[in-house]
Amino acid sequence: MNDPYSTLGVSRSASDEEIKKAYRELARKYHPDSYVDNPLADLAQEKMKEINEAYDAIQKERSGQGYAYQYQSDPFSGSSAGSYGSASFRDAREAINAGDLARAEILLGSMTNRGAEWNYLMGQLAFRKGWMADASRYFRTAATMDPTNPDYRQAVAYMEKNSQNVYPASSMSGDSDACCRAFSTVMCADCCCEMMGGDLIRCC
Amino acid sequence: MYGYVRPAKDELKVKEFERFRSAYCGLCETLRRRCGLAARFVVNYDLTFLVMALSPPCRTQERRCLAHPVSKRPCLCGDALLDDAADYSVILAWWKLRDDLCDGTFPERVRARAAMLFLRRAYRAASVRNEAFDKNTQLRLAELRRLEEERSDSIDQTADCFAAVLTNAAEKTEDPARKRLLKEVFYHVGRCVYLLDAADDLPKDIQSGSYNPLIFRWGLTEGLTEPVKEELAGTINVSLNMALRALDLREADEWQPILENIVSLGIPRVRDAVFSGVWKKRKRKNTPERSGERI
Repeated sequence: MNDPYSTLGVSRSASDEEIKKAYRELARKYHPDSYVDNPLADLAQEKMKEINEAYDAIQKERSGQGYAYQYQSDPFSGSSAGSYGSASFRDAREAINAGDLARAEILLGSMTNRGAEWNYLMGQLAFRKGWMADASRYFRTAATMDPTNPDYRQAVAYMEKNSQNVYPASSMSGDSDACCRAFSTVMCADCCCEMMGGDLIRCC
Repeated sequence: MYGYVRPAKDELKVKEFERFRSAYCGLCETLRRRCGLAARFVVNYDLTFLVMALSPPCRTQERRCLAHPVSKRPCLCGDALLDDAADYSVILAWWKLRDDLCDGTFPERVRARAAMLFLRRAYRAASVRNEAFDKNTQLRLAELRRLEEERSDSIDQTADCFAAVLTNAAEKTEDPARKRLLKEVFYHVGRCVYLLDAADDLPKDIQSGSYNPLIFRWGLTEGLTEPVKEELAGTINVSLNMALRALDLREADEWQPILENIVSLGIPRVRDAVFSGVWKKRKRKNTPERSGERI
């Protein structure tokens, strides 16, 4: 493994807080949720593993304690329980996950049952090929045919989110920004209150 | 070429802009050296993007050039990568001109024929040196032409042909993981270029009755309507996000912030300009798109 400090992009003398912050930012960047069903998901997963190992190594070195981090398996790949109905859907799903898109195309093309699951799998196939407009359409059809399935809704939501805006990695420190904004808003409100003779936060 | 893949210059740091310019100058200089003086006009922003994505960290040398004779400028040092990128530029420019020859208006056809006369020798040499890229480009464009003749209503299938041409620029990358991610970047950027070009050409195509996938996909008769703009912008955004996620996996070198700027800020601005009609007006004011992008 490479030097864990350079993997996280921190110096050896960085504080624990700085290391945690660096880890959080990298974890957000390479989190499986950002690579949901992405053809490069395995590369992102490798990066994630590197980052986790680096963080573990630093923690062990500094405090002598182990740290175990487990991230969720990506929700896009049908982790919701239950079978996929017939074996052929399962075969098609496996082909897509393995990157064998030609085989998936043949399998799905030969199916006569073109219900919600078929549309969902066609959407996944289109997504892998980079055919984004088709992917959106298939996912929407699947969600319309079976509104109860969370996977289908999630896929539609994912496409909608990525259609609305463009998200460079540097924009993805959303949580901490929101917290900072909330905090500073409350502090401002408290100052305003005090200027007018009142008090919002008694201890400040 | 198309010039859609450009940075938001005002959002780049000065050193980043200078690096970008050195890549552009490096490509231009390599074109001159390798393909002849006439080939210099083939230099464009789109291929500069490819050069930056493929290149190792920046090594420059000071050079004076014909277009800027007053002072020397840092220019990316020639290497095998720039040589290939120069060949790809010539090959792509050649086939675009062939396309203009078939589909263009009368003045466009005249210009294309003249340009092809200048470019013929350079194209012949480039296509011999990079036979696989040339053959693949021809194959994909033939597929595109077939789809056009069938009046295909699939924007994805038509865009795929064009996008696949650009992915071949990454074919010579040695590291398999890097090759995959670069192909993904080039695919989605190429897809955006195709869709933007279709949107840009829409009024002209409606008038002349030429094929345009947007016409058949949405039954357009007058130009982009608001709902169509929204859907088209949406699908372009999805591709831009996919390109960004792939770029995130690329090594964090000096080119990275420039590439991110282009994909997350530059191309969206061009998209807005194309949709509002400002892009076409700007093109009519400046020199023809094939060259002279002021930098």
